[in-house]
Amino acid sequence: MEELDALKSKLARERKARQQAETILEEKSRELYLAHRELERTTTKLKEELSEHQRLAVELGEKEAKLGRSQQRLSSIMNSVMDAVISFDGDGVLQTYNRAAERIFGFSVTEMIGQKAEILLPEPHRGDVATAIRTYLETRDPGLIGVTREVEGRRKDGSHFPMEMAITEMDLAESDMFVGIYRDITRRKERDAERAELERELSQAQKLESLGTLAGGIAHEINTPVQYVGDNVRFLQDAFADIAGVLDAYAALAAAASGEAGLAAAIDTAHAACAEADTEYLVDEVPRSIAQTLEGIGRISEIVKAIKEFSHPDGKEKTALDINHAIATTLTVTRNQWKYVADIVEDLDAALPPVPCLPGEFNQVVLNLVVNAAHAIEDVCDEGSKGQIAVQTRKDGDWAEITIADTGGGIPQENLKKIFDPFFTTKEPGKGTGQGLAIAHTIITKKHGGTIAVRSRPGVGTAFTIRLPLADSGVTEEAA
Amino acid sequence: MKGVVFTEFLDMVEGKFSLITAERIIERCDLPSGGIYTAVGTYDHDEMVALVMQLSKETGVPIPDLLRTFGEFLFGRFVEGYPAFFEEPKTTFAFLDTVHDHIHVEVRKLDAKAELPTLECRQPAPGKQIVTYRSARGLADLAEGLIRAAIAHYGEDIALSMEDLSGGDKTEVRFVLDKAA
Repeated sequence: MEELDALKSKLARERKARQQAETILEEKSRELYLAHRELERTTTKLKEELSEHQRLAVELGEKEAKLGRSQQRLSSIMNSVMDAVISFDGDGVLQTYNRAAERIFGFSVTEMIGQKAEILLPEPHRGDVATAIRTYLETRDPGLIGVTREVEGRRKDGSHFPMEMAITEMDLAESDMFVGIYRDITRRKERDAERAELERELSQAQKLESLGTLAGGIAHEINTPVQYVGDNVRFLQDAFADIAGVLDAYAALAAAASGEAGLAAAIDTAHAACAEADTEYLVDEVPRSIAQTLEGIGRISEIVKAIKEFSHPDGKEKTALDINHAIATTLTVTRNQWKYVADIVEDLDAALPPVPCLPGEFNQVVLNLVVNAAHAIEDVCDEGSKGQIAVQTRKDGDWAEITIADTGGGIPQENLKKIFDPFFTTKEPGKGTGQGLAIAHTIITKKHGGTIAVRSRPGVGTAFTIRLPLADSGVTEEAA
Repeated sequence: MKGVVFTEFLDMVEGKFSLITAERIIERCDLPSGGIYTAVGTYDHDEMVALVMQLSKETGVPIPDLLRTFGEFLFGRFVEGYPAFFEEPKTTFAFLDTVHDHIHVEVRKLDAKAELPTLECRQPAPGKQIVTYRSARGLADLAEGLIRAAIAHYGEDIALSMEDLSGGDKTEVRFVLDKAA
């Protein structure tokens, strides 16, 4: 091969190689263009995704800030509540402990976190909560969980105080957690005691008020026998003066008879004195007058005794009360309230055993019902006519039942549900405060564990039925 | 095989032998490509084998010697074309360490289909490096030429020996480099 031929051959190859290279270059350019376009698309997409990520980041930041604020608010609420709020795990180990808990128990949050919650209770009760939680976790028996109970709390200084404790399970998926809310009820207990004392005073005041209301009638009741007792005593005084004149005459007669001088004149004088004194009348009338006086004195004595019994303040404990006697006493005290408008029909079961009662409180109930019955009859009675108040007692199993029924106008159906509400009254001002039946209801149901029911038919009358347990139910004023 | 290898090979033949030799081996090989190569193209590896064998026949130089010579020539072109790969490493050992994990990675970025040999380097002792070459093409002699050129490039006194682990076809060989103390 000659040099020239080789060069020509190479040139031909080089030319074709160049064309091939140009073709490849063109293809590569196209690929590059497509790749560039794809890159642009990817870049745009990446920018969009970046923008979305930035937006999400901002949103996340806002949510985190919101969450932070929410946590801060929650923490603030927890620290603002007046009650101790703590949380603890299934082993009773404290996880959170708010500011009120620090104040109530005296332990600081740093002292308490990680400690067992049971140290907030005094020694005999420490195991109670742990046992209740263990039982709950094993059996799901709620026991103490979800119930508010009164227990004793223990402060850091070892002193005890009354508190309400409510433990509930937290709704967390990952672990067993419980919340305990503790309320210091020391002040409330003190206030309850003060209120109970006030209620006792109020009850006594109401009784005295009733006596005040009854005082006019009672005065009248006493005045009637006192009037004729006075009349009789004055009569006896005059009669005795007359009898003294007769006695003087007969003394003179006796003196004359001993000397026989002027006997006839003395006899005449004695006869005249007898006539003057109307001794026959006196012989008849003086014993009657004395008897009437004694009867009057007896009635006065009975009324005074009834008032004494009625107004005697109750102790805290119930006593076995003769219900029939108590009713008779109250009827005596209230006699002036009903005697002009009603007759009392008593049907008292002599076999009724003594009933555990607060006597003064029970008397108050009977008084309120009898006076109400008299007022109800008075409202519908014509002048001169009378209604009837039937008082019945009987034993019904383990209960004593007392019914006081009147023939008054009855209670409209719409009022029946409200009659035991405090301050509900249909009486005109000055005749009732609306407290009588409310007090009666409280006394019977809350203080005696009994019931009080009413039946009424307009135009026929009303009957209240009280049922008291014959065995002491243990219900006391404190518990009520 | 990348076209640059063919164009560089033909440049070497022209330079080391003659234009007529280059044209003659192309003509006698009766290549599917017709010997028309461009550096940016990709061509059948068998054409390179045919060219090398034909060159050996034309010149009487053994094929391994031709491949080693080509390796040394190719290294010089690589240094000119891609200087960045040679600036960072300061020694032959350091450079060989980068071939598989850095240079070949970059080559694959340009041509995902490139069929490259694997080079596994380890230093069992200070001053000694063992490089294991594996390639289905069995161009271990070309690799040796490249390594020798690298040693020369970094101006180091390193003795190089090659051991064929593949029973003669040189698809897996071990190069041992011993640096003079």
